[in-house]
Amino acid sequence: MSPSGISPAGHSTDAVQNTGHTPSSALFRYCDLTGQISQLSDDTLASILSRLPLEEAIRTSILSSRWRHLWKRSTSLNFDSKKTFQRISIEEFKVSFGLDKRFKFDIDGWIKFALSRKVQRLELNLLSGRKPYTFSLELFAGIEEICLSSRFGIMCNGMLADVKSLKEVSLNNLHVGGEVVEVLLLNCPYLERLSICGSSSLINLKVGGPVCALKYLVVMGCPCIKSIQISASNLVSFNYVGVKTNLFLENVPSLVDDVRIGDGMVTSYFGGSMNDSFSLLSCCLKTLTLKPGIVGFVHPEWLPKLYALELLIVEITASRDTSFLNYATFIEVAPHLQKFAFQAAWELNLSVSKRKVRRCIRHFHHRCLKEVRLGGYYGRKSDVEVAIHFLENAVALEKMIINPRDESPFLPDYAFLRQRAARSRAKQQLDGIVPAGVKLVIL
Amino acid sequence: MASSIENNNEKLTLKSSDGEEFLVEKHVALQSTLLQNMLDSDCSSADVIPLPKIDARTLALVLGYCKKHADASSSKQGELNSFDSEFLKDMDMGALFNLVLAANFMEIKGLLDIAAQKIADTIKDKPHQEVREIFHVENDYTPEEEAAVREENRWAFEGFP
Repeated sequence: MSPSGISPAGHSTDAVQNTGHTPSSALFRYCDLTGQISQLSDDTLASILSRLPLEEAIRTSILSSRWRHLWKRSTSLNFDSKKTFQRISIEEFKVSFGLDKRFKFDIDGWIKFALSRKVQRLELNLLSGRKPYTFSLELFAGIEEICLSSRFGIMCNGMLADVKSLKEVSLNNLHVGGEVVEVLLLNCPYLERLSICGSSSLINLKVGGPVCALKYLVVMGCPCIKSIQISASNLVSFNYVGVKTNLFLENVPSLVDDVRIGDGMVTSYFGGSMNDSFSLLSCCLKTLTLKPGIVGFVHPEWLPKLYALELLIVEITASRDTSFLNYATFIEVAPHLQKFAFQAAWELNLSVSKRKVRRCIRHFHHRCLKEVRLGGYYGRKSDVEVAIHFLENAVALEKMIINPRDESPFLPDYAFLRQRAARSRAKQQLDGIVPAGVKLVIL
Repeated sequence: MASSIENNNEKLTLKSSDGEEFLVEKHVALQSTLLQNMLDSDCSSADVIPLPKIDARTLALVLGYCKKHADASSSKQGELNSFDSEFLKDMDMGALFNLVLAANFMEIKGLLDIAAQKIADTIKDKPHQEVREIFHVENDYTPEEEAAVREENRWAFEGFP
């Protein structure tokens, strides 16, 4: 060890050669005058607030306007729930953190705590990665009288107050299996919204049960899912995006206006297996939204006739100048269709190719379609041929609306120029060929 | 080329904002990530390193902390902990803020941690009126704004008028 040292309290020892000119007493006064918390940067203050329990940090927002939002920059979440939420119930509990199974103990604790506070909306957005957190039945351990499965005949007497309060559950990027969902539905008589995204342990999903109040169901990006079985009389909205799956629908009288089916996976395609389930909807479904994948191989044949369908929406991503006439032929499955809407999201590299405008080989005269809306019209050959297809085959057409713009919320700076060019192309391409009796509207 | 032994005996000169110079052994200076980076990037140790944001009193405290922690590699953690808690004891708020500023500027994580914790402990369990007084924070809210802030996170203010 070196013989020289610095004493903690001063600078008069041999290691520190004080060669300054200012007397120390003056220094002390100087410090006192400047020693105000306002000197500290926002980052430093945030790091101080990170060391406080959450509620204490939040209370500093009342100090002055500078402090109002500082606590939100806390770098750690010290959440002393027992102290904080002793008396109150929670409406919404949301955790959006890139956490995986290593944090199981904490995440379990948060969820149990939220359940014990009669939470109504529970949302978890975690980290998918290689080792996702598992939302398991352990969470309900300790809660009395949980009904684990109707199949085993363990019907619950009084429903538990805790889980009973749940109205919305959204589980994203974590493991949740079909059995857990069943238990959840069985014990939550007020659960209206359920959303499961990115669970690779969801294989067979069964939605229904004696007390199913479910109105909105979203299932997205669950790569291993094999079947979805729905029997929910209150269901009004179903949104599925993912791989080919067996879909069984029964007792869904309210599922009329809001069904969205999307093929989010580039390599998969719609399969004929959906055919049967759609037949259940064919007599009542009024609105259907389809989101075919980029290389989705789609044929109208895989859909049964949807006699009640009034509005069909097809959402795609427009890349290059690949023909999407296929999607236009979907009108064939809906003989009473009133409106067709096409929405193409623009990719970054849009171009108008020099290829010829193609025609659909099959002619199908649609006698009810009155309105066609082509969103994301850019003036490529693929856009023109879809417009022509409708003008030629929809014999009852009254109005064609061209919306030459991308409705995506993330528009690049040059989007305006693109829109202007697209609009003038649309005018030039379509003005001359629209038959009398059809009103062309270019937005 | 300087050998590692020579390096260990090397000293640096640091200059405070009010012009005082401090001669510091290199291994003590290495407690500061800022100084470490400067030395790594071939800053000549013969030069005087100015620390324009740190006054002499604070710098002396900071160097005292660094000295203790640099020399303590072999001593027990418990001893360091009691040094840390003694170190900030009875320190006035002004000195504490200056210490946080210095630790932040010189990137001395351990010191920043204990000083920030000390300030946090001061805030803890105190009504905001008192915190304003201690920290000389001027309340620039209108009564309406103050009520709105309170309403935003009502639960956190329960029991705090």
